[in-house]
Amino acid sequence: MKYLLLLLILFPLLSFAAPGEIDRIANYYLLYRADSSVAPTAGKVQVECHFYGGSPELPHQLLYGLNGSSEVASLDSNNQLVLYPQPGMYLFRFYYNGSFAEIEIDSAEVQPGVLTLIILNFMPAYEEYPMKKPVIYLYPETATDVTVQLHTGGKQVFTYPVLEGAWKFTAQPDGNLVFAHQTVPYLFWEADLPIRNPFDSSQDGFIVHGSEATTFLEEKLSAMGLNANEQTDFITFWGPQLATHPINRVVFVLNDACDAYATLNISPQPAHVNRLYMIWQPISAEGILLQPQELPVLNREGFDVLEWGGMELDYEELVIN
Amino acid sequence: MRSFVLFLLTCIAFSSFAGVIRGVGSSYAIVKEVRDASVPAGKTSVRFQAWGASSKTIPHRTIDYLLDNEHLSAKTDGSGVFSLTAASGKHVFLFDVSEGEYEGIYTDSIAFKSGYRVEINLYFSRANMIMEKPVIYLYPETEQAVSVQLEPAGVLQFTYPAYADGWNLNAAPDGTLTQNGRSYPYLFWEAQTDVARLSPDVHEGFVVERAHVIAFLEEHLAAIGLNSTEQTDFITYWGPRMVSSEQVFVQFVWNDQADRFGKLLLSPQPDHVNRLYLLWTALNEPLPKLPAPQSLPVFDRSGFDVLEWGGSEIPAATLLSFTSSAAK
Repeated sequence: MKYLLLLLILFPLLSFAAPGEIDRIANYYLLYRADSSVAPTAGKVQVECHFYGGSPELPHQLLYGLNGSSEVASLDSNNQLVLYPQPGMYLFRFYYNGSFAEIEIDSAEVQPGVLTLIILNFMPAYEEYPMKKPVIYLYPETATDVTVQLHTGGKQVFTYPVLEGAWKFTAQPDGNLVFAHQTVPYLFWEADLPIRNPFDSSQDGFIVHGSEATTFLEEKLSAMGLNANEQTDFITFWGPQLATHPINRVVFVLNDACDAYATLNISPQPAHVNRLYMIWQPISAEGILLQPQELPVLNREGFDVLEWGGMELDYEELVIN
Repeated sequence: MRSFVLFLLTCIAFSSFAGVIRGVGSSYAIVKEVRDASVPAGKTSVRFQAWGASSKTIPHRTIDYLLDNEHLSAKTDGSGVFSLTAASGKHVFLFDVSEGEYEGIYTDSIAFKSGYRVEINLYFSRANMIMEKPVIYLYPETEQAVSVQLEPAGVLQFTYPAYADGWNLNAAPDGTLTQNGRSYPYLFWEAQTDVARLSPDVHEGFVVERAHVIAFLEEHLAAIGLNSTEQTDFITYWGPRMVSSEQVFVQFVWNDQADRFGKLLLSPQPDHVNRLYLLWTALNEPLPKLPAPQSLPVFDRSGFDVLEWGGSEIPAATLLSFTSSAAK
């Protein structure tokens, strides 16, 4: 039944979906097909590669490993590769290049006497997510004319006040930013940014239950030194979203590390530019072990700027080993 | 819970009352139907795309569905797409998105032609609407203790600071609210509410083009009398979502009219409790008839003044169902 269902779902995808659609489904499929050229006790594996956004340029070299081995092979013109391992259970790894995420197949059975077909859908190593609501507060020591330039690696979706080149305004010590025609308490931007899932490469972070979102955020934001307004703005933005999911994992990106998402050029140079992005993801399992992230105390002295924002990554079903 | 809902849907599907969960508006549309040589005779290849609110798809979610009477399940990809191959002929589907925040979709009977490839959009509407982000700013003339009681028309989802039988705070003239040693610039609540309670009157309101959203909000919020912080908070909350479609329908609801979303009881009684709600819909196609512009109030902000703003995004299908029922 399970295979039938798999086939039912796979069949239309493999036959007619445009290449751009196939690779967004799952990163691999495993199928078995009758093949008279395979001896009853032998194994034969055909690897077929699809690439997000069309095939990359030649040469088509695929790095792969079976149970920890490390091999290189050229793909044929159909992006295929044939291997002849002994029948049995294997851990497969496939790596194309830095633009695409590695694909790992935990335990795949190479069955005797049939063709084992592995269809790989190489996804971009970077995925685009909306960076939500970075808001920037500025607190100069005296009223100061300030220019703020923002550079993001993605498409800006919304800015407020509307950003045309740079934000130019007079910042007051109480945080009011006085523009020619309006006064605002903060600058706002949103952009779709290509990122790597930080949880793929780091075990730092926190498991936050939806019901504990407020307490968690109050504790961490207070400890880092956000003021009452900033905390309330942050918590009333992210709190309701964290609270709708039973379990989330959360990691904070701080200060210089935020440059990977966006850079701020502020003139005159403030004494401290404090930046804080929260990257989070609703997850299914709770037994994930994360190393509690060490959070700094932000230095809020002198002409001080604080920016906060964040990203929600897609829900992930995690399997605990 | 999920299995119960499915069970319920199954029961309804098998009984002859299937029409009752058809929901409001059109919940699905066949967007493409073409012959495809690679589809075997007797089969039809079907590609579904699941859509939620704000013209956004529903990616990476499990969709449980009934195909005639077979129980199946699929996962949507990053674009909200899932596919299947069905025998040609007439079929009835029931779709249910996991985690239960959307209404199920019942398709009645769809005829699949042999050797065809079909694309169907599924428009899921939320089982319950969220009255989003009402925030309440208080500006007393002198520093004083204030108690705020909330009677939401629905279930509270999130409050900040935590609402426990009322907010009891110290309010200062600059708007700073203090409670248990922490201070806040405003009170926040969010509640689930049923669609009927929102009941937008589609004859009145505004249709705003994407490029004019910011200017539209700035102009009207200023004219109504929101201060610069309130305006910025409002615009940076709703603006990014409203510009995700070419056009939006906008309707304001204010003061006593807002009681249908929830009541505010304050003690001592402020001189003015000003409430402003935004109901809006992302329009993928023009409204059948342009609404008459609303004449908006000017708030009296003198004395001990309270300002609350909030709102809700209403799915296009729901809005149009109100349109058609209003036309009858």
